[in-house]
Amino acid sequence: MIFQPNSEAQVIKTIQDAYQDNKKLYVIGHGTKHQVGRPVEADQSLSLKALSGITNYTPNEMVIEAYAGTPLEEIEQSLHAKNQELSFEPYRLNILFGSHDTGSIGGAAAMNLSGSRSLKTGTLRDSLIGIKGVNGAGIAFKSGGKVMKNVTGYDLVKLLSGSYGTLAAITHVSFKTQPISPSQTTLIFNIANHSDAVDILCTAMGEAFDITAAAAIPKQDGSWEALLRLEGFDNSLNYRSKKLASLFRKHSEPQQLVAELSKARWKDIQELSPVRTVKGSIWRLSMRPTDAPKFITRLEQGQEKVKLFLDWSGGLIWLGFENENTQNCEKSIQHALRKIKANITLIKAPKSDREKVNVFQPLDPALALMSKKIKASFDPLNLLNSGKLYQDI
Amino acid sequence: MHIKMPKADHDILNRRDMIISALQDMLPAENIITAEDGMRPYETDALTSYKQMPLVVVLPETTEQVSEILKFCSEHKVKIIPRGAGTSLCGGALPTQDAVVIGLAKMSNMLEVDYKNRYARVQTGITNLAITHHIESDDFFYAPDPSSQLACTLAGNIAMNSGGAHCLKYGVTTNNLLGLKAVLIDGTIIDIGGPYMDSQGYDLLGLFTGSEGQLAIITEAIVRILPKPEGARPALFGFNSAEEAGACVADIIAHGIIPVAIEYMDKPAIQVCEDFAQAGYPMDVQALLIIEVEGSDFEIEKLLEKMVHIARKNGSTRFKQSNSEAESAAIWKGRKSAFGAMGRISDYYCIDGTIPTSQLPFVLKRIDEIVKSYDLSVANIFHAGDGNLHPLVMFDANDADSNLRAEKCSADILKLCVDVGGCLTGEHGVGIEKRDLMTYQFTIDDLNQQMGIKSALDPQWLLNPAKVFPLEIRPVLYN
Ligand SMILES: Cc1cc2nc3c(=O)[nH]c(=O)nc-3n(C[C@H](O)[C@H](O)[C@H](O)COP(=O)(O)OP(=O)(O)OC[C@H]3O[C@@H](n4cnc5c(N)ncnc54)[C@H](O)[C@@H]3O)c2cc1C
Repeated sequence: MIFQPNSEAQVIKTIQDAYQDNKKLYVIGHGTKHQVGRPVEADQSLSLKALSGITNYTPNEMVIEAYAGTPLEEIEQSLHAKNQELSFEPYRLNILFGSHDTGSIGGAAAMNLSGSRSLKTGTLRDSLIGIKGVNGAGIAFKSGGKVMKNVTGYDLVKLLSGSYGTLAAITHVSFKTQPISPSQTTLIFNIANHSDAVDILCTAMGEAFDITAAAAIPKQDGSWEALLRLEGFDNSLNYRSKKLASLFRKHSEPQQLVAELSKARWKDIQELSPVRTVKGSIWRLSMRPTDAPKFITRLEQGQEKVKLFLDWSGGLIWLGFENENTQNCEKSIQHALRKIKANITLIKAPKSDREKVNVFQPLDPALALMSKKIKASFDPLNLLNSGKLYQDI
Repeated sequence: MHIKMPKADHDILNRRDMIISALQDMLPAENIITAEDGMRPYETDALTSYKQMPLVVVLPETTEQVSEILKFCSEHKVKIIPRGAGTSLCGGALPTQDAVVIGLAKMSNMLEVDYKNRYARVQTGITNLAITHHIESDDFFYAPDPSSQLACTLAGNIAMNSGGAHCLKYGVTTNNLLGLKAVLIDGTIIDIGGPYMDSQGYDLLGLFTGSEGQLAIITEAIVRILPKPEGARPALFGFNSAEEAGACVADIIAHGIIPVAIEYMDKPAIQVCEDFAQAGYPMDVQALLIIEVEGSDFEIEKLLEKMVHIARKNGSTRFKQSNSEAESAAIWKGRKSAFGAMGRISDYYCIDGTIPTSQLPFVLKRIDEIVKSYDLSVANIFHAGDGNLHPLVMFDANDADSNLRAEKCSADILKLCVDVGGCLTGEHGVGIEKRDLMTYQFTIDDLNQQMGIKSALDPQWLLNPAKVFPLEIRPVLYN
């Protein structure tokens, strides 16, 4: 049974009924990425797809608000028409699951779906300024609002972003937007190995270049490309690219992609091109950028054939395995990590495998207990996306 | 003085000696303050019209000590007031008579700096500015810059999610944190996040930031540090009306420019700040924008050129840019000492609402009317880029009637902020000051959702309990 309410009142009614009957609900947006996470046990589905539409867009206040089911694409198009954008440049995870629909804005919020520019502007949660939702007892609530600076009460906005629908069904969201930079340039340095590539990214991030994205991508011949994106006015881009180029001259003379070519390259990254064609599971790991080279060396010495690339100055690693045995992939990641601290998320694997491995980084007992208590304060009967994040959460 | 505090628990007051002696077992003698004289600095914060001596003040030096204290307090149902430097403007650190104040002042060490990965790990009793002082010789800084940054602690900044003039570009505290170490009420020590972006599970980092000392005591933090810009230059833009200044801000943003800071002052504020700092503010204007841009000299020139053009189009009558480090410092000194400068000439309530920026002219007009209706006067200062207002409502603290009028006037202004689509507090927090207005912005269901978290993590409501939520809507506590 799939409920597809088109008003907040209907969402409330659906959850209240489920609460009365103690029925578990599978909360989804457009469903394009519903396979991310642990398999959910549910009696019924609650799709937010029909609860759609932009409710307020005030470009000169840099704020956009919309119902949760509004397509991300619709939001982005409206913003582009006024020369604005969502700063966090969400990855197109939908492509991994064979969908052209970029999904709903509410789904993006529920996953904290973020991409390359988050290195500079923070992830989705740093742009999300208001949220309305309905909790597991069918009670509607709001947090935040439509102004950027707001510390009134607890920040449930952040708590809900990335909660994968386990605390509440998100019905409405408010985002701050930003002007699209007049121009952009990407410098690409050809580097012999991944440790030098990460070193270049980290060094550049530690200088005042105002870099808005920093990625490293392996090439067929085993060498690497270090990509640094600059955004701003043309004269300033010229100035900064020259300085950047001279800083790393000893490594290589950079290739420079300007304007549309630069955009196209980052779109490719946004669509996860370097890893998306693999047959097996796809993972993301965040860690200290300087830990990444050691991890990659060990991983590449291991058994599994793996495709990968680095974003966020090396602090975010995307892995795609050819081996279809997800458990073996998990083992090789663990083996390569050893003592390196990281936050591992399994993004794509068959359902049966997602039952056998840790989809999200396990919590230590104190955090697990606290998370359960928080979950219970929103969803006392554990009805919403039960088990999607962790057992019982 | 009309904000009510809960009645003290006599059972606790009667057990004061026992409680002190238990604390003495956990801490060196010099870390416990029991004498009235010694406790005097802790009886209030920057909302000085409210004062109350606590039961006792403790100054732990380690997370383990904090854990022991909390464990003891939760077992004996003793309330706790976490405290940084006591610069809260909303009474967030105001004690109650039956509570132990836990001050973080002795936990102020820089624990680790990692430039490659751009983070610093600190004890949260460190002052905001000290973080930058530790790293500035290596050309790095910690971005959030509350005007109180010389005194206020990171602990207080985290508890209040504090902002500052430069957060238009760099974000507020919550956007600059990567991890926390915190102690829950039962003494459990937890680590949230880590030295990288993206932490596992729920965004507890986001939840704890801005929770006003009600969910845990935060003892360590991992903060994002950033490379200093090549250069920075503030410039002054004068206008004949608030409307023109407001329109100019919107137009700058519409041109794709987000300066590092856009600060607004009205005529009374300009006067007070100029008298104090001799910053060279123009005196023949009704409204002033201080706009700071960053980059190389060349980039700054280009950006300022663009902005001057935009400002002229919007009616700006005066423009002056800083020509030296000393001039820049004076310009910022004037703005950042606004509260102190105002304090020299009058008592005042500092209001902290946020409004949608397009409402600015209307709201300024209404503020003027409201203030006049209470027979008071006001100076307006605010972070114009994000609509965070700081009207300073002046009154006479020695005159009870004037004081009461000022409190009511402040409440009306905050309600106005909510009415136009904004909120009660942009950066100073709710504390006791805005506690009873929470039902104006939120429904009971909204507040129940927040209080549900409080009850889940602190079932006896022992951590800073008299704050944030109106007393009469709280859950009944069962033992
Ligand atoms: C002149 C002046 C200018 C100011 N300018 C600004 C400004 O520009 N921007 C801004 O945002 N604020 C500003 N403030 C307000 C104030 O400085 C901030 O709220 C600051 O963050 C408070 O820090 P503190 O160390 O003084 O905390 P305190 O006042 O001691 O405490 C503040 C709150 O934090 C809680 N707390 C303290 N330590 C901990 C801990 N370890 N764990 C959990 N909770 C804790 C307390 O219980 C209390 O609720 C200003 C204040 C003054 C007096």
